[in-house]
Amino acid sequence: MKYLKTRFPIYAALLRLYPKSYQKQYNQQILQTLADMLDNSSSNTERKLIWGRTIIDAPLSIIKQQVVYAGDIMTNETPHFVKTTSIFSALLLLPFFIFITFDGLSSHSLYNSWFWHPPVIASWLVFMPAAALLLSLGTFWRWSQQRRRQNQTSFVKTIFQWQYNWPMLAVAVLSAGIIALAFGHDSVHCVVHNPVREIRNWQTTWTCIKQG
Amino acid sequence: MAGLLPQVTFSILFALSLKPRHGYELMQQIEHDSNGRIKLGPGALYGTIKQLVNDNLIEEMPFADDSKRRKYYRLTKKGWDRLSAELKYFEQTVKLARQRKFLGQAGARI
Repeated sequence: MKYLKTRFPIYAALLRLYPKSYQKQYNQQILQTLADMLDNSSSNTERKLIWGRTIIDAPLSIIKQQVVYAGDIMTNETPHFVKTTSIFSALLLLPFFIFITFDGLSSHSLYNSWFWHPPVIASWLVFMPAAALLLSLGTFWRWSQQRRRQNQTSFVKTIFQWQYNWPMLAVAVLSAGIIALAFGHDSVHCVVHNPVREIRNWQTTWTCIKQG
Repeated sequence: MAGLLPQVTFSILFALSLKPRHGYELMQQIEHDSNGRIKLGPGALYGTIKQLVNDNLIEEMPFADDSKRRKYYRLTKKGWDRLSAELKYFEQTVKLARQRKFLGQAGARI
């Protein structure tokens, strides 16, 4: 194994991106198979083709194994409260996507409806994503602490275990994105009764309102 | 009957039906059996091997080669059953294709 690692140092380093259990079981075999392929090749062109195939194959295979690993964790190790809160917080983001998509597809037909007026707009644009963000971050914190205690490992290490954290992190990133979009979106000023844009651009909005 | 096996999975089972093999031998046999149409990289090969071991269709042999660097794999009883079910399906398909004069006769389209 050591000999193979020194023979293909970059490829061996790339194989470290596989999940740990997979690495333990198959990394040596993968390196040995590559060595066999290269040793039995008859020309430089053939060797280049083998390397080409291997370089394309490695990232795809690594992504696939990581996804499989994350799926296994979700099925076998993820506690019920993580699954429930992840689904619930994801559902809190659903109205945003439904309204934005429907409005976009129907030539802004929702723009003058009650969906776009306070307090309804504030609820689906700010409050529900904020609740989803808090819920997912809270769950993320709780489960990371739980794993830290169980595995006697550092909190920082548990934070970077994306295979465990991805459902909560995905919801948190989406929620933060929606909130940032809402408060950062300033392409339209003077949209009467849009609390987010009015808060963000209150001076412009106020000028617009005064000008009628 | 379970659904059809993916092409690569079938090819591995088919290659192991002759004798137990290690990774490189498997690759060579698969390439040979498919007339060079299936060329696997090591990552794809061992990803499928892992799936097959998990599904108990193949198993690691208790011995490795002399240098203990290569692991050998063989079909399990379940693997043999799955492979023969798959081959029976292919046999029936070829039979149907012959009946419909798509295959293997004078004036056949293929």
